[in-house]
Formats: sequence, structure tokens, C-alpha cells
Amino acid sequence: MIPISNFSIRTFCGGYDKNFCYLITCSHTGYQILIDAPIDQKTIRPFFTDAPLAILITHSHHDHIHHIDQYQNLYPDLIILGHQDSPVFKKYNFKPLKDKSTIKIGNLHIQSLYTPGHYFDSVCFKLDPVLFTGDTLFVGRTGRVLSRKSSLKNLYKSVYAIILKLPPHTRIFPGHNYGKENTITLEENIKISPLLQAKSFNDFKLKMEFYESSRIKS
Amino acid sequence: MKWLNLFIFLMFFLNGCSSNENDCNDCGGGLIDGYLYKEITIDDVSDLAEMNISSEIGNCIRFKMVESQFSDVEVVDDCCCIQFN
Repeated sequence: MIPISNFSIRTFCGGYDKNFCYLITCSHTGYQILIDAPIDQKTIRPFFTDAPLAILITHSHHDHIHHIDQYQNLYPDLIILGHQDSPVFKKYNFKPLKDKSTIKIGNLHIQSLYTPGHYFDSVCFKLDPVLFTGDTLFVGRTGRVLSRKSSLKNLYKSVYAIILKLPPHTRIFPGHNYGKENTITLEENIKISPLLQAKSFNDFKLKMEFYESSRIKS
Repeated sequence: MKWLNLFIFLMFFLNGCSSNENDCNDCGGGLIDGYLYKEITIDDVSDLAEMNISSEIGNCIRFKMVESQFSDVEVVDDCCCIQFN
């Protein structure tokens, strides 16, 4: 568990593909929220001090929302927060988010940043000095653009015009355990990630093509 | 003298706490009450105008969301200490 001044983060790894699920606890009020629902409630429930207040969804790919039903059934008042265009959440106690909305939970103030690209409804959640990046940014690389509703151009804009404009000491907590470490600061991530060193969109596109071709070879 | 020192220490400590509280927690209800906050952007202006809410880009609003539409909007002084980058 990582204590960061007025909140703590407990990390769980599992689900379909080394997914991360984060349990955030407000140190002052004890309120708890989850980032994504990729992991069975049985694993996480022992760490709830009370009913969690909300699940913040980084995007609607199945591996990130697979267990929402479980949590919603267990905690009917649980609020599901995700991008306002996400169609799959309507059946839940869903609260749609616009870009740069602030979610106030106890003494925590979490800001949603709309970061489409990996998927059309991708959202990052900023809880200074931390950023939960979902599949938009991992340790060592950006997300990929494999879905019908993915967009390389949007991914470039989201990463370069939004995320990399945040303070360099911002620590990212990604949606999967794909890197050498679970978490990293933006400045360290830039140093180890060719996809974060592009000079332009065309350069980013070339770097992504190179990355994808390297994956096929390996 | 010992009591005086203790009194001064406690006053300093308590003042420090209360000023911290005031800095960030005066913006009203939170998620438990159904409220969110945001800085008004150009995308929000027309929606807010339809609701007869006079607003300026950069101001902060407290609101509820009902099916992707603003509801219960109120212009507030700050956005709960969030620094917009």
C-alpha cells in the first residue's frame, strides 16, 4: 500500500491480462473508491472498511469493467463514474462525466481528464500527485489503437497535449502491469519510452508502426 | 510558564489545522450528495445558456448530471482547490 499524504492506494493485479485495480482510501474520512473493476470482489472486499462509494471507470473495454455487476449487486448505492458517451454503463447507478469534472469524495478531489485514443471513452483520473491512466499510458509505452473506436491521432493528442503537460513528477498508475515497475513518474517514463519521445504526429505514427512490427516479430 | 508554552503551542497547532480546512473544503456538497464540479469551458456555454445560467469560461460550477445533461447547476467561487493545467 502506498500512502500519499491524505490518501492511500492499494494495488491489485489480476483479471484478463495483468489488469490493475486500485483501491483509494481517503485518510481523513475513510471513504473508499475503486479505479476500474477488472478483479473479482472476493479479492478486494477484505480491504473495504465500509461500502465503497464509487468505481471510476477509465474506459469501457471488457477487461476493465468485467466485475461491475458484482460490485453493483453487492453495493446498490455504489456510483459508477465514466465518460458521458459510454453506452454500457446506463444500466448501473451511473454518473456520466464531462471532461475536467471534479469529483469530491471526502477530502479528495479527483479530476477527470478526457483522453480518447486507445478507446473513444478513455478517461484519466488526476488525484495530485497521481494520475490513473487506464490504457492510455503504461510504464514504458503508450496504449495501442486496436479497436474500431480507437484513434491514433486522438491518442497522440491525449498523450502529448494533455498528459505530458502535467508536472513531470506526476506519478502514473496504469491499467495493466506491462512495465518493469508498477508505477513511474512522467519524467522517468519519457526517458524509457520511445513512444513518448516523438517530435510530431508523423514521428509518433512511425514509432507506433515500429512498435507494432516489433511485437509481431517477437 | 509551562502552561503558557503549551497554550501557545496548541493555538498554533489548531490555527494551522483550521486554515487548512478552510482552504479546500468550502465548496459545498460532494459525490455523496450527487454533485460534481468543473471549470466552464467553451463546450459548456451553450448548455448553460439553455438553462438561463449566466456564466463565463473559466468560472466554476457545481452541478449534477442527468443522462449527460447538466442539472442543479450553481456557479461557485472555486472548484475545490483543483488547479487546472
